Amino acid sequence: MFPFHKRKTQLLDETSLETVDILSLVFQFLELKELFALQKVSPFFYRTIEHLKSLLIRPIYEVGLVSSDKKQLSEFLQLTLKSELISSATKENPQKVSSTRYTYYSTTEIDMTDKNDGNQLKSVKFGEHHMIHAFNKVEKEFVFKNDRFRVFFYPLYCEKSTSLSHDDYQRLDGFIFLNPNSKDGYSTMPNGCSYCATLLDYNNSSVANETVLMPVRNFGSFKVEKVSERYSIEQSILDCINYISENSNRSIQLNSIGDG
Amino acid sequence: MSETKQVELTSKDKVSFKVDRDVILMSGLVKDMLEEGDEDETPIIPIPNVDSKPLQKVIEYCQYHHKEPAQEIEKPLKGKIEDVICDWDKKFLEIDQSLLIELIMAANYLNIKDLLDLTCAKVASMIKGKSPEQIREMFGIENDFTPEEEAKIREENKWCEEA
Repeated sequence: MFPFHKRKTQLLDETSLETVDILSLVFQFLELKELFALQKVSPFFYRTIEHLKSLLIRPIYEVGLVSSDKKQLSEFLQLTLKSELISSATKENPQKVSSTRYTYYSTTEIDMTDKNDGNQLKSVKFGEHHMIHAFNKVEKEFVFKNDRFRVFFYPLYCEKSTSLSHDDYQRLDGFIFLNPNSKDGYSTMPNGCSYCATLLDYNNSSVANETVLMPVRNFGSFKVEKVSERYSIEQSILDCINYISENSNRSIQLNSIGDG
Repeated sequence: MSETKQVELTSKDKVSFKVDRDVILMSGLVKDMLEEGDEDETPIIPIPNVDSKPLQKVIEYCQYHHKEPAQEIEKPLKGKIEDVICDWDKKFLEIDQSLLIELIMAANYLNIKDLLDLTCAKVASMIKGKSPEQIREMFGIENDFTPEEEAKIREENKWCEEA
């Protein structure tokens, strides 16, 4: 923390605890990305926002990045690598997007033959009323770093037949879907959907049915093109994270500060 | 017909305002004080932290909103505040910046949540889209970051800055 100087301003008495409370309330009416930009105003703003960040921002988000096209997924990883969003550990081998099956103790086997052609991510009927996307987690994850939080992106490759890891679904805060219809542009995401999974124990006996909501942003909100600059990629990702943080039942609601 | 009970509020600059008890009960502070006092009297309540100008605005707000409850303002604001508040509130907020700040302090001191939310949301709306320099000018803030401090903040937040 900086050795900040004490001083008075015309309209804000920075020595008053009351002012800190009020400024905190003002900041709650601002979006997260607007809040960060305000830190440069003054040391008082910096301190107040630092404190708010510790209350408002959850340290780790985990987001699935989904595509049914390996090349598209690989290109997206390279794009984000170029814009220095990926952790240095991942930089070693950014091109490798190999599928890894996870062997959790409880998985639901879903045969998607004839339902997903491998080139397009399709919504598949599962059970009577629930929609499902199935995919495997690829080897490398990448990290969106910030001073107060990290977002771990798990590239997820959707293929014909796969094992769904229930644990993954439970852990991830949300999903970003790369546009299946346009491999050259990462511009759209489907609406949120829910899935119903049957959990199996070691003997393949059913132990539970669960419905999980996957919060994703509406179509057209995630705008990243191959030629995008770092700024626009980051803004899009941040928009997604904001949306996910507001809609995931695992996330802290940003407007709940002060309620206890 | 029974007479409406009144309360007399005295501001920091010694100006008195008579106001209906029902109206000023919107203030958590005044409500607490009235509950402790004698029911039969017209109590005189000193408000030593608030000048007459903002106090008058507070009373104006309570007079309107004790019958027309304010709608909750969504956090964070998705657009301009004018898009989410009623016409009366829009007119009410047509005040200069220093009075707005005084009004926020008054709402906080008097514990009037809806007025505090409204005025804080107004300030947030004014801040939106402004550069740090414009915000400094707005609040009369001096930029006394050292170059090293500025560099550190730039580094921390570079992901949300323009390339």
